[in-house]
Amino acid sequence: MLTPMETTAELTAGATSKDPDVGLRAVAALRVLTEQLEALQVDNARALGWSWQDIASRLGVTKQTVHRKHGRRIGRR
Amino acid sequence: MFERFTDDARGVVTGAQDSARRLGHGAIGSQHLLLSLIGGDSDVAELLRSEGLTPEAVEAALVAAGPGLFGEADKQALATLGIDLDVVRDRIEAAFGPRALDRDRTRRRHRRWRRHRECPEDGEPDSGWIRFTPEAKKCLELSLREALALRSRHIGVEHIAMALTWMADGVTPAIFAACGVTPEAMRRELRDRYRQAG
Repeated sequence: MLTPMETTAELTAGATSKDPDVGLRAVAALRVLTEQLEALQVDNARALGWSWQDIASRLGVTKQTVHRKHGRRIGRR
Repeated sequence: MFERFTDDARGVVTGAQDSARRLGHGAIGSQHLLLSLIGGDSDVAELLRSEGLTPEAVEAALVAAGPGLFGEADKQALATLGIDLDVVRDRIEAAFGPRALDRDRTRRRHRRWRRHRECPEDGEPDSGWIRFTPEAKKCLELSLREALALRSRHIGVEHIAMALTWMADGVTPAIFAACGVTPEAMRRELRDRYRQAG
């Protein structure tokens, strides 16, 4: 199972730039992009009535992880 | 650190928060400090405006440079991976609404920070306190350094202005360029002017 970070690292392994300034910046930007997308998708899934368990299994993490990360932002629905 | 700020300098910081909120940005960046500074009635603001950093020009450049979460350098770095951030943004906004990608969603961190700072809690999620970006924090730290370098006991608007000229990341360098301002020249001019006065 890949954690989000490993997936990011895998993606950047194909980076064309060997300049660390560009390469590292790309990693950081990808991470921000991933986090934003995750928040959007989790919010949307919760709004559609998905359980934390279902969301967690799609993200490949535990229910506790996803709830700890997003539960407070979304609140109880 | 804020206790060393002059009233005018504090006004710049508060104004930056208002600017960020008005523009719908999720965090206060150095560009909002710049926008707030030049909108004030300090001597420094007047000098910067006379150099071409008018509120209209800066705001136009700020909006053109894109939202704070992803700067131009981030966009170019992602492009080296074949990711077109504009395309990503368009698709996400088509599905989730305007600014869906750029609104900062990492609220947990700022709540913790807010509690730490003992700022009053407020119920409205979008009307409350918003956080500083790391480069805005860096800018405020640099303003302290500029004040120390000029042997000033207080951090004034001029020191924030000098700190802004050191910014390498974020939108601020792009704004300077768009307004035809060379940061190094601006810094020299500010230092020459405020060396004795301070």
